[in-house]
Amino acid sequence: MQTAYHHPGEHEGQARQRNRPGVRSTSMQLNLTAMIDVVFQLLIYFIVTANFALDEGLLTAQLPERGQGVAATSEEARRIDIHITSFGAGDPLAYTIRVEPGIGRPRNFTELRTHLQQAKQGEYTEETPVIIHADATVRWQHVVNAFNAAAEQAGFRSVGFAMEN
Amino acid sequence: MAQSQVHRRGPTSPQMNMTPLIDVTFQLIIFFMLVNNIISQDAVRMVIPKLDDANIRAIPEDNTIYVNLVLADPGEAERRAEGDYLNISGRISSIQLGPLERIPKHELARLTRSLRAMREANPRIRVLVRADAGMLFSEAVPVLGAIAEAEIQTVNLVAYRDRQTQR
Repeated sequence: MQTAYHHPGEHEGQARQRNRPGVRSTSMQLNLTAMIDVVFQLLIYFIVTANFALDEGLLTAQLPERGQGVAATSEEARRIDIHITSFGAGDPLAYTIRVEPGIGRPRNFTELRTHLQQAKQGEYTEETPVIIHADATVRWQHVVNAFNAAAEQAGFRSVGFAMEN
Repeated sequence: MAQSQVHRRGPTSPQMNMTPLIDVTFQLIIFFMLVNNIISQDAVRMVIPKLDDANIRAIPEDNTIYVNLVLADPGEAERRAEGDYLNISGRISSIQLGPLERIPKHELARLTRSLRAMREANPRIRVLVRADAGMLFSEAVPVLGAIAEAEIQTVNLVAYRDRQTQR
């Protein structure tokens, strides 16, 4: 039976024995298992909750100035209007495009781009304002597509929206 | 206690070196934590427009403020079919300005006020309008009007940048 007394001599003796040449000293070992368990849990959590966003880009549009009437210069008097009409709520993908004055009725936005490029090479310049008129039920996708065709692809400088409704 | 003369402390057990494994795992954890933060900053979940032949510019890092048009039915963004993603009700309920400010759609004067204050603080600010592809144009009109009311003449429309787009 050992007593709980502190024996300094005994500790010194043990220390001396450990440092004695020929006796291998034990190195301290950290028990890493628990930490690795937690780390893997965290890793799985972050992998599962991560959702990668697709790459987004932007198109720059002009908004009409509020409160003051825009003075119609000779260039602004000649403007191009793109009308987008939807077939109603039943078929949200369906739309018709009409480009005034007399530029045509493109069936899709690729054709719209071709029409607008031809118009720009003809009697219109890149400064000609292009106004997009869309029905209330036209989906945003079609509006942005028309915008993309006019501003980014055909290269018109000032493309805007008509906000009559 | 009788001890072996060869193995004074018992036979040694083989030990795996865990250090490189832990190093790699920590790197992965840090990566996923950072990626999570970047995405959830101010992106509201929605399907933004996919364009026919889009060659559009990257979004600049600084001087930007997002105006997210949030759909009235938040489940709609998840539920719709892959090929028919425009077929939703297309109504919005609120506008999220930046990462924090949520403005109901009938309080557009608040949007105008906030944007005007931002423009006065930083005249070079760019307004990015982020809306669902299936949203009705009539829902965008008052919001664009409110932005124009704040004397911001240029807005930026956000769309996907992938080259081969599908309709």
